[in-house]
This record gives sequence, structure tokens and C-alpha cells, in this order.
Amino acid sequence: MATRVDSYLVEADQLYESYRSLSLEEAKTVVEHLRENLRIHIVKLDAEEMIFDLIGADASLANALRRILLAEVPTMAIETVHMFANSSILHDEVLAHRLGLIPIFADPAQFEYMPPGSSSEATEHNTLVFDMDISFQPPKSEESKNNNNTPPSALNAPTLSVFSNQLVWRPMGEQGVTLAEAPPRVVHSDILLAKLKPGQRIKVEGWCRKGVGKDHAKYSPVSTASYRLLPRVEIVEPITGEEAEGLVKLCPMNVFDIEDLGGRKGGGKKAVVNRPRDCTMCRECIREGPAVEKVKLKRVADHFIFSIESVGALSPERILKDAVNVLRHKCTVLLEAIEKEIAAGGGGGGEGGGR
Amino acid sequence: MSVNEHRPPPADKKFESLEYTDEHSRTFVFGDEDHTLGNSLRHVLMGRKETTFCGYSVPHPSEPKMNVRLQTSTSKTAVEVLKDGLHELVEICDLFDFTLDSAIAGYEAREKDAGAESKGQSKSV
Repeated sequence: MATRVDSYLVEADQLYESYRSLSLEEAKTVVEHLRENLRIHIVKLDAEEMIFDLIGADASLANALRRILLAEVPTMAIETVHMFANSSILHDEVLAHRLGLIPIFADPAQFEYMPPGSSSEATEHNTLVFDMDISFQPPKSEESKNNNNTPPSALNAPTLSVFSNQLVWRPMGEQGVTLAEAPPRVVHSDILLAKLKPGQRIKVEGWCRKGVGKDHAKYSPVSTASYRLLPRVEIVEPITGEEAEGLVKLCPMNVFDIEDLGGRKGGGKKAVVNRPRDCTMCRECIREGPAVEKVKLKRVADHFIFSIESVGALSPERILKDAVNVLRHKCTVLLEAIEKEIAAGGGGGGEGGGR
Repeated sequence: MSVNEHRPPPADKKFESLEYTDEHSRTFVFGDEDHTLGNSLRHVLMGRKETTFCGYSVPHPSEPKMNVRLQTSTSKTAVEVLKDGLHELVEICDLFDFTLDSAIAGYEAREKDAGAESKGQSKSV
């Protein structure tokens, strides 16, 4: 039994049909092509997740968007932790690391980046302060039960779990007024940070800064953002009758359906592809069985099914809009830099200026 | 003074043009850029009819540099086409914003209709 080699991609010609047999004058630029063909269709949108189809764009643009969603959309997160007391079992740096990873509900647009350089000052415009002060007071037990001369065991001692809801925002300067509409808080109040035994204490101040995922993954606004290409399941030769029934049963994702043609040859049943979107490319339909040569598995090269899962600080559509703004900002910054460089007569050479 | 404060320094120059003899064949170096802008800018530049050659590379992943090689026909200089390409990418962002807004409006309209429908159905029982 020879194994088949499949081509998973749609042939590029089919895709760019508009570019074939065009003279140079008729050829379209990318933006012209997009104006005609770009479609966005939103499948799901709620506070946590957004699933949408991006149709007509090239992989380079879809990937640029994905990369920006992961690494270049800013959020706020704890960057510097001032430790006043930490007698817990966690080392200072471990506790600080955990604090940094806590998602913070704050609008990064209301804050500035810290100016580069180690001597930059933390002001109310670039820093948020969160306090946490937990002491676990040992309970005063009546001596009745403990009078049998056994030393108290740590295994029996009660444990106090410290959760993220213990972080309290302390407004600095005018922040009490400017941030009153959406007061900064932690996104999830049930993140376990540390466990304390009686007599232990944690007193910390966490200072939040604005940052991007490229710098540290804690700043990434998405738990993940990804895309896949829409599968294209092609039936190259008609599959009828019992073969069709068999194919429908084989597919674990119910991609195929039976169309009844009404009592002609083959029993009047034909297999059709009704849900290509659900296809997971498991290849059960071409692994064995009667339809092996008749089904081709490919992907549509310009149909991206995006999934954006927010961590919770920003809504998914806000993250997407911010991502587009980041891309635009990159271009405008570069255009300015080019102007400056060209004006300054940048770039060596230029003698002769052409052959 | 912590481990976290050691970050790779930003690139020296945001934009630089390497030595050239011909205004129509130039290599540009972008600082603090990577495949995000590189591949999309390359794709846009390839669509412009004055472009005869365009490619990009990241010379080394440890260095925040990205090179773009652009060769153009005699009708425009490479710098002009590069600027046109960046302007076009901005246009694409604007188009995307517009398309996204309409898509969100469409989604919300559909959700409202679906909500009204289900209310209507429960009433007519």
C-alpha cells in the first residue's frame, strides 16, 4: 500500500488569478487588491475571546498582525517590587516573579512608558502602585489540647493562602481622579501567590509599568493569539452510494454529508463537503478506505481563521485595534526617520548618481 | 539593579541606507525591526510596479536589525518607492480598521437580531 503525498496548499496561481496575464499597467498594488477582496467576518466575540475570519489578505500581513498581538501591544504589569517584609517560604525573587505575572486591569493608553535609562523617575503618569500587607497571627489556642507534651508540628499548623485579591491599589497624585472611571485592580482575584504559616508575614509594594510582550511575556495582552488556514477538502471524483456512506462515517469531525439524488445509479447518494471549517486535517478520509484517491486535502491560502484569547486586561477587539495602530505607528516612525536621514544626506556614495 | 533591568540595548539607528552607487538599487537597514514589518513591507513593495527586485533579511537574530534590498525601474528612485510602500502599508492599516469596524457592527447587529428572534419565539408559544 503506497502512501500518498498530498499538497496541503492551494496552488498559488488559483489565488492570484487576478495577476495572471496582466500587463504591467494593469497590475494591482496590494492595497488595491485588498480594497476589492479584504473581508472580515466575526464568528465569536465576547469579553474573553474573539474568533474571526480574515479573508483576502496575504500571509505576511496576517502574520505581522499575529506577531504584534503577541509581542507589541502594551499592557501594565508589576515591574519593581519593594519588599518590606517577607518571612514566607518563598524567596523574595520568587515572590516578586509571581507578582509580575499577575494580569493588571488598567488601560495602558492612560500611561506613558518609563523613559529609558536607569535614573528615570517614577511618576503618577507612568507608574501604578499596589500594596499587600498580610500577617498570619498565630491563633491563641487554649492550652487544653496541647498539654500532652508533643511539640506543635508544622504539618498540623493552619495555612493561610495569599491570593491576588489581597493586592490593593494605592492612588498616587491625581490618579484617584483621573483613573476613577476604571480603577486599577487585578484581573483575576483568585490567583494563589503564596502560603503562610502562623507568624509569617508578607509586606510588599508592587510598582507597575507599561511594557510589551517583546520585553517580557508578562506584558502580553493575550493568553494566546493564533490563526489557521481554512481547510479545503476537494472531492475530485464523485463518491456515491456505499462509498459515500462509508466516508461520512469515517470522518471524526462530520465534515461530509450525504446528498440524496433520488434513486439513480449508485443508490442515489453522493458525498459532499459541508463543513470544511471543522476539518482538523486528521487524514482519516485518505488513510484507507474506498475514497483514498478521490479526496484531496488542501488549505485556502488567503483565508485565515484567527483566534484571540485575552488575558483579561483588555478586550479582544481592543487588542486587535491596538495591534493595527502599532503597525501603523511603525510605518509613520520610519517615514519620519527616512526624512531625517535623507535630509541629512545619509548613505555613503552617490557619486555618479547612476550609470 | 536586578536581572530584569538588563535589556538588550535599542539599535543605534532607526533607519540607515548602506553605501550605494545607483539611486535605483539600495539596501536599507532598519533598527529595532524584525519579520513583523520586514515581510509585510516586502510584500507591499513587490506589488508596486516600479519594483524590479525586493527582499528582506534579518542578518542575525541577536541583533535588532533588518535589511531591505530594493531595486527599482528608472521611473522612480528606490527611496521614493520605499516611502510609497510605507504609505501604502499605512493605507492598508486604515482599510483594515474600517473593515474591522464594519465587521464588529455587523456582528452586533446579528446578535441583536438573534436575541430578538428568540424572544419573539418564546412569546408566540
